[in-house]
Amino acid sequence: MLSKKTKILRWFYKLSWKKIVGFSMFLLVLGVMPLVRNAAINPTRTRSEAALLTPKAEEITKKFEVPEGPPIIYLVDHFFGKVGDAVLIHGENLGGVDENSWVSLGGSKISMDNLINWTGDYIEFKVPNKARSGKVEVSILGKRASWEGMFFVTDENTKAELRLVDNELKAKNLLGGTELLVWLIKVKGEGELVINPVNGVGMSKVEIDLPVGKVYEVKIKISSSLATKSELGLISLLKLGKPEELVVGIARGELSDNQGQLIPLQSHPLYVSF
Amino acid sequence: MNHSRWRTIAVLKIVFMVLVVTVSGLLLLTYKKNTQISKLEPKIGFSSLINQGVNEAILTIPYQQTLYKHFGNAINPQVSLPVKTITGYENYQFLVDSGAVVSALPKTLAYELGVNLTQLPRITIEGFAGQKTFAYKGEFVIMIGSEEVAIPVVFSENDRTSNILGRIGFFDEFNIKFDADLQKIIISHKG
Repeated sequence: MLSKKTKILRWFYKLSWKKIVGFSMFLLVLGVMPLVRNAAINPTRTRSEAALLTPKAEEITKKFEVPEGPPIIYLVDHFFGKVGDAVLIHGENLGGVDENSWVSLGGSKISMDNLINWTGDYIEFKVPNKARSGKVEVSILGKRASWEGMFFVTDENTKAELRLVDNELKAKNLLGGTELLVWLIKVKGEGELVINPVNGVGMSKVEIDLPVGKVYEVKIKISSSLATKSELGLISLLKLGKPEELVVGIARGELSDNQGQLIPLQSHPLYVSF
Repeated sequence: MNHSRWRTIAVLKIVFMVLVVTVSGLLLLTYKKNTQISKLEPKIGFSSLINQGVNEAILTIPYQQTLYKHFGNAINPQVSLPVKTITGYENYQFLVDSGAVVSALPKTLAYELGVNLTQLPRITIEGFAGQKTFAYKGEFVIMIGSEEVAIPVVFSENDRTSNILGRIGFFDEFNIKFDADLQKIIISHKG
């Protein structure tokens, strides 16, 4: 008695090659026919399968760049922002998204929903709901670093403001402040920034070379008369000279009162750089 | 020996047929996929014929040519469109750029357009070389033909940003045709 498998094999063995090739050609023609018809009736066009793709939500960068040393934060840009605003942390050895790494603002960890990009040299996040002003800190695989400056979460009640207008650093609503610390950073272009205080304003200056650009750290003494005047409108603090191609921005601003407490400060987007 | 030979031939025949069936199947699948793509393309039907008037050009802009040092003459997809400002409509030059996700303007134009940047959400945008720049998400109004159109825009902190008309609100709302025969950019209503 032959098994079923052997019977099938025998059937195929007895089937002539002619029949097999003939049947195969028939199948091929069946497959090719609709394609030929399609090619004949459609005009030649560049074929794109983009129409079939389902839109995907933009994902945060998953690439983890193994840190070669402890994390360093050079700059938090901008140093202020309202809820929902994007903020960039510039630094090095920041790794990437990892369950053992986190970013915090004012002591609260930034959730994944508010992280936009995370690479070895920068992190981008959105100011979360209910965020509070404070230090920006990162922990990369257990190693921590924080930015020396203060990040201010702003809203309609944030009155103190810095502006770069007409080659001058101006400010308003400085009431209560006794000292103003400002970082002016070279964003783009060559040349040096020349900084001079306006009459009656005391100032000290330090230059810091950061990988993200040269920083001019300026400390300005705010007298009570100057602070009162600033409540009425913009007051001039510094005169700035620079080559036309050099772009300078306000990278940090801290207004402190006589107790050393910081007063929330922001800059106007139109006048944050010039 | 004979026993194994007839088996080998039978298996060969089966393999051959399976291969042919697979190839035919793949061809049919390709056809199906092509049909799927074609279905997504607009069809010229009765309703399209009725609405033919709608597809007429609402704005035709002649090509502008630029003489590039390295490439010679090339078309410059630059259009001049009236933009709503605080003092009324004023003409601004825009680069029509299907490569840009969204339209962009330098932040310095925000004041003229009556936009308060401090109230707009701040985002980052990536430039040509991948560098990040801050920008503020808003809207502006332009006149296309005789129609006022609100278009999403980002106001870039980079003052050297060109005025760009990108995809959102422009390319997805209008048909933009670069007509090489007529040497014109033709803007018409979609569908």
